[in-house]
Formats: sequence, C-alpha cells, structure tokens
Amino acid sequence: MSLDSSAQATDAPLSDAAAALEYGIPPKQRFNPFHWMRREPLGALGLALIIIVSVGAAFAPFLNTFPDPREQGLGPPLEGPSADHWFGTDRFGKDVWTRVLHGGRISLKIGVATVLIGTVAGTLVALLTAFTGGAVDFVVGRLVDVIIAIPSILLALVLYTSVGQDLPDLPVLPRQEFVLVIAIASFFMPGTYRIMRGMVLELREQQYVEAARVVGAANFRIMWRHIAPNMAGLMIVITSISLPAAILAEASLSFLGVGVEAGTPSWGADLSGTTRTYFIAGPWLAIFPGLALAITVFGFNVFGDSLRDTLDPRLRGRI
Amino acid sequence: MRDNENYWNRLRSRPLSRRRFLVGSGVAAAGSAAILAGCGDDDDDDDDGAAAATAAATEAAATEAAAEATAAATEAAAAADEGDAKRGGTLRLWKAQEDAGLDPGIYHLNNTEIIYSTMTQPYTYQPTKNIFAMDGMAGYEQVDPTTFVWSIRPGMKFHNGDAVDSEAVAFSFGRLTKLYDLINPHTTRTGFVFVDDFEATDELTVTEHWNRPNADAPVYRARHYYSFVNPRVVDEQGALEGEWTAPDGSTEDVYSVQTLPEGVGSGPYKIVRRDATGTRTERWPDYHKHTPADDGFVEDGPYIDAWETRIMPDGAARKAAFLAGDLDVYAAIDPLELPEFESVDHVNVVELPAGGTGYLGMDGGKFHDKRSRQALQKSLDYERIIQTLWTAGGKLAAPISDLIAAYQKLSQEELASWYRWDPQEARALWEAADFAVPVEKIKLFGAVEDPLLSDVTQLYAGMIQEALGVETEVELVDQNTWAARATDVSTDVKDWELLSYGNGSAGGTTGVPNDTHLIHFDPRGYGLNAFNHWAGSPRPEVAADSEVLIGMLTAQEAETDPEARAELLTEVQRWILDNHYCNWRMPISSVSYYGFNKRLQDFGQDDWLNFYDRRRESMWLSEA
Repeated sequence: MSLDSSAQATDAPLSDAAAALEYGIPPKQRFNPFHWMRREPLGALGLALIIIVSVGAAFAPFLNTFPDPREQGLGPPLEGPSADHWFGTDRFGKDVWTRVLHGGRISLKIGVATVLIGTVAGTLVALLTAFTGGAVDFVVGRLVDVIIAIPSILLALVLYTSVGQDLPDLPVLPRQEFVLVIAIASFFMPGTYRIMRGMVLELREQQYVEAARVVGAANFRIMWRHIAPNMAGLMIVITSISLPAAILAEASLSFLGVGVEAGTPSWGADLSGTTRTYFIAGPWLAIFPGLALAITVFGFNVFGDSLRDTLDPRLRGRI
Repeated sequence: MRDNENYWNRLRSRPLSRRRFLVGSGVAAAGSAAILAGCGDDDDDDDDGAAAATAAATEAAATEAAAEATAAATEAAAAADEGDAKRGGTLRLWKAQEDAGLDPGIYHLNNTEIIYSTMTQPYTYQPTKNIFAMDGMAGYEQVDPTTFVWSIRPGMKFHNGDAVDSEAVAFSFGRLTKLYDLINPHTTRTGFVFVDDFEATDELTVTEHWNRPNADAPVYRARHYYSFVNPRVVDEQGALEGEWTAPDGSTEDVYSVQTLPEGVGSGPYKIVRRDATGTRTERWPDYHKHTPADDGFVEDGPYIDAWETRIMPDGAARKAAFLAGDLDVYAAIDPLELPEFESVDHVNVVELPAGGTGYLGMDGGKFHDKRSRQALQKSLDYERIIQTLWTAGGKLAAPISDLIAAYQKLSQEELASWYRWDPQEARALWEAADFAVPVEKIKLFGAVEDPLLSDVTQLYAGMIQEALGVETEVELVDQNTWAARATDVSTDVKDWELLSYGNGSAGGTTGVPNDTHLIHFDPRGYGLNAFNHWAGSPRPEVAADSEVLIGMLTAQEAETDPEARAELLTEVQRWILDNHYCNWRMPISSVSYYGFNKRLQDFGQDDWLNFYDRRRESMWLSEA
C-alpha cells in the first residue's frame, strides 16, 4: 500500500471491489438465494417448512374449515379424516384441522416471544458483565451456574406456579401465555449468556477494541458500536437453534397441564389431557398435531443449522 | 473450493454431525409414524373377536364342568376347598390423588378404600336388591317411630385388642354431631340431625332416641361415616378439633383421627403403607367372624389378602395400566372406547344403569337474584350437550337420582320444561337481574383429575358465553385444592362463579334421596358448604328461599309412608327447579360401563352402583 494510493482514495472513493483489490480484502460475495439453496438443500427445505407452517398459522382464520377451534359438536365425535373434517374430529366433535392451524399460532407465538426475550436478555447481560468483568461478572456467572443446575422444566414449573398469578394480561399475550413465555425464557437465558459471554471476552481483546479505547471511546460506545455488532451473527444463530427447543418446551409444559388455558388450541395441549385417552380409538388425534410439531421443529433445526454454517462457518459443530 | 464441491459428497465425507443426526432422526420418526399408522387398525379384529369368543366359550365350559365336579363332592368338603381356593392375592386399585385425611367422620376425597377396608360399619345396603347385609351389627329393630335399637355383633375387637362394644359404637356415632358442629365437615348431617342421643343400653346394644321420625335412618347407617372408631385411641392419639358445648351447657373436647392411628379401626385389613405413591392394606388375622355371613360377606373374613391402591392422576396412564392388566378395576368407560376395551382378553366390560352426576353449582353471593340463575340455565343447550357428550344416549337429570325409582316421579318430558335452551330469554333475564357484586366474567371452576370434565366444562362455558355475551373462563385445579376452594365458607362471595363437578358418565346411589342428590341443594349441606345458599345468607332472598327449602326437606325426611314421601319429594324437586336454587344437574349418560379384570370374581356388579363395592369380602382373585 502506498501513500499515493491513499491519496487517490481520498480524491475518488473506490468501489467495494476496487477497494478490496486495493487493500487485499476478499471481495464481498453477493447473496444468491438459488446458490444458497444448492449449497444448503436441507436448510432450504427447513426454510420452506417454516414458511408453510408460518403461513398456515398466520392465515388460520382463512384456511380453517370452522371458525372457532374451541367449538365442540362440529361433527360426530372421533370421526376419522373426511371431506368435512380433513384431519378428523376429537372426542367432543372439535375439528382437528382447525385446531392444528390455530395451534400453530400459539406455538409459534410463544416460541418466538420466548426466544427473543431469552436471547436478548442473555446477550445484554453477557455484554454488560463480561465487558465490565470483576465482581459483577463473577456473581452473575455463579448465579447462572445455579440456574443451569436446576432442571429446566422444573424451573419453568416453579416459575409458572409461583409468579404466574401475579403477571398481567398483555395486549398480545394473555396472562397464561405470558407466564409460559417468562417460564420458558428463564431457562434459555442462561445458555445464551454462557455462549455470549465467551464471545464478549474474545472480542474485547481484539485490536480494534483496543484502538477504540486508545482514541478515548467510552465503554458504552465500545460495547454498542464495536462489540455488539460482531455478536449479531451468533445471536441470530442461537435464536434459530433455540426456537424449536422453545416450541417443544411449550408443548411439554402444555402436556404437563400447566400450559395455555384449557381449551386453547396448542399442539402440546392437544397431545395431552383427555385426548391421549383416545389415541388408539382415534390415531389421527396424535398424528396430525404431532406431525405439525415435528415438522416445525425439524424445519427450524435444519434451517438454524444451515444459517449457522452460512453466517459463520467457524462455528460449525460448536453450537 | 468449497463452492465447487458436491453437497452430497461433502455430506458423506463428514463425521456424524448434528445435522446428520437430525436428518436421521426425522426419517426414523416419519417411518415410525407410518408404521404405527399402518398398524393402527389391522384386519384381524374379527379373528380377535372369534378368539375371544372361543376363549369365553371354553372358559364357560370349564366353569360349568368345574361346578359339576364340585357338586359331586360332599357339600362340606367342597365348601372348604372352594374357600381355600379363593383365598389370597392382591386387589389392585387406583385413585386420582392422595387422601387429605382418613377420619370417617370428616368426609374427604380419595379415602374410601382405606376406610372401608380397615374399619367396620354397621352393615351394607344394596338399593338395587333392597338388601341389608349385616357387618358390625347383628340386627336392628324400630321399636317405635322415634326409637331405634341396634344389636352389635359379639366378639369384635379393634386392631389393638380393645373390645368393640356399645360404648364404642355410641361414641362413634355421637362424635359425628360434634364434629359437624365444630368444623362443619362434609358429613351428611341429615343422617344424624334427627337424633337426640345414641345411648349404650347394655354391652352390645345401642339405642337411638330420635326427636322425629326419619325414613332413611337405617340406610344412612350403612355409610362409611358410621364406621366404628375406638374411643380410647381417638381421645389419646387424635387431634383436638375444639371444645363442643352440649345443649345442657356441658363441654367436651372433640378429636379427629385423620391418620387412623393403630387400633382405631376393627376392619378386615390394616394399613401397611400410605404415602404419595398410594396405599396398601393387608389382612388382619384376628378379624371377627361373620356367622352367618350375609350377602357379600364371608364367615372367615375376606378372600383377598391385600389391597394395593396406586395414585394415578393421569387418566391415560390409568387406562393404559388397566388394559395392560396392572389394575383390576376401571370405572366409567366411555362408549367410544368400548371396542378398545372389549378387544383385550383379560377385560370384562359390564354395562350398568346410568347413575352419573354432573353439576353446575352457583355462588349465591353473586347469583342471589333468581333471574340470574335462570339466565344461566337457559343459556345451556341441553340437546346439544347430550349429542356432543353421550354417544350411547343421554338424559336429563333431576335433583333426585332416577336409580331410586320409588321416589323419582318426574318424567323426562316434564324435566324438559325446565331444561329449556332459550338464549334470547337468557340474555334478557341476565340484563334484568340484580347483582350485588358485578359479574364481568364467569369463571367455571373444576378439578383437573377428571379426564372428561375439562372438555365438558368448556362446552358449558362456550354456551354461556355465546348466550349471555359475558366472558367465561375455565379454571381447573387438583382435586384437593378444588375441594378446599369449593367449600371455603370464609367469604360471602366465592372466587369462582360456577362450580363444575361430575362428568355425568357413571355413578350410583346409596338409596337415600338426600345422598343422591338432594344434599347438593340442601341449605344445610352443599348449599351452605359450597354455594353460599343458606339460611344465614346476607342476601335476603337467598335466606328466605333457604328457609322454605329446609322446611320441605325436613318434612319429606320425616315421612315414613313411601307413597306420601314420593309426593313430597316430587314437590321438593319442582320447587328446586322452579326456583333454580343453588345448583343445576346437567345431562348425564343413559348407560355406564365398568371394566373389571377377568381374574376378579364375585365382584357384585350392582354394588359398584351403590358405593359399597369396597366392603364386599366375597370378592376373590382367580389367579391368586
């Protein structure tokens, strides 16, 4: 690199490609979705499944065959799949297709809300404590150790029963769903914190952070402008990989009877309670909600896996 | 370059990665699902049926042959051999939850298997046969309309060796009145409210002095509340419930025995385990003889050695355990499940008359205005409820069980005039009704252990919301919490609006109209304990209605002529339905099905309708 070329750069800004050539930086590749699908066919399949499930959930009021998924007596009890009831009916004549569609709304809503809260909170705490270091980092670290030592479902159950009654109804989340979100997020946050803390410890030793410190940047500015943006990729990956686990956790809690309000369509709830008594007499009661749950979780899993490889190949196998 | 590589080559060359694991798991899961779906309904049902029929025929033939062979032997030797052959084994039962106490005078849920097996009652009564089978009593005599004399079976002992005598029996019965006065328990007070005192006349005779006649007194004494308890153990090891003041002003400490300490009972079994997993009772070798042995009893005590009761809150787990042969009794099979049960070789499905119960109790603190209760009842579509819930047929249910045919004179047609769905009128009544406490949301409160109740309650909730335009909520909690909150009498206003209980699928009767089901309307029974409908209510209209109903209930109890009593009972039922008082019986199944393991013999199927099944000592296990 010469002074002349630097002068040239100030006179006329280089294009990205020219700058890359000039400074020896590999040229930035334009994202080609078709190329990505060829490279990551399973990821593409996962994305397709996610889109299908999300569209089904989002447009459930238009795709369902009966308006109210809670309504009983819509058809004969325990009727198999038919033209009137595509996925059959349950013991009380509720339409299973309608419930599966609406169940996706609950599962996805709780899953997304849970992961967002858990990931954002875990990342913020990691950023603050790991960057600050010292006693705060030590205390929070040990606290997280304690939380991780408690079985996750047990922790969720304890939170559900202890603080559940005190939480308010939110506009988009009724109290019972809000409780679920808090309960499930509570066991995602420590895991996110652990991973993110490691990354912050690594990043804060980087030369550009030292450079920022040398030029007098404040701690907050360093965290916000130099470290946080470099955590985004990992955060996205963690989010995509945690989402299926969150959906399964909602299903598990609903299965244990502490999930959404009785009667609310939810894949987990529909695989539990009275329904289980009729799985032999009506196997479609298990197959369709189970399949919806399995497809969604599978889709998020493989998509998250591909996303991780794409965004940061170095992380392959580490998360 | 990575981009030029073939994806599948890269995939193959990789070690086992998370993604590969996921792919493999997905394929395996899909394959398993397909296999399961394919195997769900195979074509050999008929073969199974034929095999079952053949097996049944073979079994029947074998039984017949065995009976003939037995008849050929000498009568005495055969009886002895048969008795020996029947002895042994463990009866395997289940219950949904732990008991919350065992004192027979304080009725709690989930304890009858212990009380019936470890304690002695006067006798059992089978309403379907109108039979009194003597247990701790040897006989009784109605000396005059207000004097009743008992003869106690001689030779009985409590488990600690103390004699069961008239003092103990008089103490046991008299304690109920005192417990009721002190802690207002669940006990059916109508069984003793007419009694002035229980007097120990001589060592083996107890005389009841009544202040008025009572038509049901003998039947009441068959209930488990009237179990004999050892006075010495109760006073020495019981928990003090309080100081009771007698009418003459004297006082007395009253104790309960919620843990049934050693020596308190005199039944055929003793408790050997009672914990969070269940209970186990085993034979007490010094149990007294029943000579002669009435129906359901055996001279030398029960055939079965032990009872093991597992706590199984989950309905699906109970069903699976029963179908796997790990339980001997499974009550209330849904008709939709019948093919599943009937296809299992070791299962004996018995069809019994319907005696189910389903209620929506109303909080009188909020629904004191008759119009509000009427609005709730008119918001329910009874025909749709029956169609949705009762695939084998359903019917409307009156305040008295139609299993007590002698007293139930209301026809289905007549009942339909009260059970009328009219959403417009319901809303008009609701809007016109007076509410001392605003009702912005109607919470229907039930217990989670009942596998059908959740959906049944949601069905009611949906109809009420649709008809009245008021938001509804279903809250389900565990059974003991449900019972505690249901019977919390510390407040004039409950933390729920409607109490949902009973799924209407199966049940029975003791033969007493009060038990099935007037106690659920009685202002001194559940009306007081659960529904804030009682004579002392701060809501004047509820208090006035309660006084009227108490008068009618008292009059019918005192009427000993069956025909005249039936008339009075019909009047009571009409009054309850006209005034929408306190509670509302919901439609029930027309038929009920019970499953028994085929190894359980002589289980007395009618007894399963009248609550005395657990006292049947003649049950035996064929594989014991």
